[in-house]
Amino acid sequence: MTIKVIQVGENILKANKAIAEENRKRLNDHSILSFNVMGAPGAGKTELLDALIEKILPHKKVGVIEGDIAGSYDSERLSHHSIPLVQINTAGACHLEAFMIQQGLDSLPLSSLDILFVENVGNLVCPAEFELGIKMNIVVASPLEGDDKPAKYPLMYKISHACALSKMDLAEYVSFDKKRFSDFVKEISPDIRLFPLSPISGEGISDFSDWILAQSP
Amino acid sequence: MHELSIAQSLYDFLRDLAQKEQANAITQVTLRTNPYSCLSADTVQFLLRNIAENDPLFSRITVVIEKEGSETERDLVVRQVEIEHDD
Repeated sequence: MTIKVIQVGENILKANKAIAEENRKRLNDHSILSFNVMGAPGAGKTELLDALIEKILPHKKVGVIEGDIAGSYDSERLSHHSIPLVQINTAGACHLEAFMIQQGLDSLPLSSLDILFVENVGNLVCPAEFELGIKMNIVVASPLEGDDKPAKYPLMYKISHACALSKMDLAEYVSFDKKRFSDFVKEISPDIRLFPLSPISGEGISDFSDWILAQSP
Repeated sequence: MHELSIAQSLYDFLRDLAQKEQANAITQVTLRTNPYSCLSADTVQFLLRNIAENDPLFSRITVVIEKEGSETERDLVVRQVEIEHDD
């Protein structure tokens, strides 16, 4: 019996990466600016999208891919905007993968979209580990999660271009240190843009939608 | 539980490699990924052995994950595989 050590160098996620590159090219070819919206369950991703779409629709044509383990509650919640909307159910998977986005793109009128929002499955771990071919990453957080979450889930904050600190209208009712949260975020990702906001009170929504629109080529 | 889809991809890759190398057993696989990755070696190892069920190729496999390199790259690279084969 002989023991042999083989040096490999193979990316086990190469199939996902290849489809992500196809998605990226497809979106670029249609000049669609895309955002992967991630965050914990209940952080307020759908609520924020609802408010953002309201602000952005007068300026840009928007489409949405909604990712959930099961159900279509989020897409139903956004349906009043009368925009192209695809619901993906992952059937148990804790994150979206590139092939799911590919299927979503197949069902959207890409030629008539300017901006695509993808709402990932509520989870601060797994969605950060998979490339989708979406240009910008947004993490949505809320005071209810606690101010230490960036330190506990660093990859999510490391890969994100912006952090929407939502539900700020509730901050006074929970033990939440905004400076501590902000310090953790900046320590992990010095270049990330942090937007404290509240879709309920309207605080910060215009600043965030202006940032979204400013990302357009 | 993103380890499940990763373990499935890893199983397919290692099974093909073992057949090509005429291995009797795969004793260790070393993966490299992002330093901030939450990927659990114990979970991948548990899932890999369960996916393989009674396949003796995988019954003693150990999974090692090295978390290093680029902080934003999300590749998961099979860096090294240790196998046993007949002389």
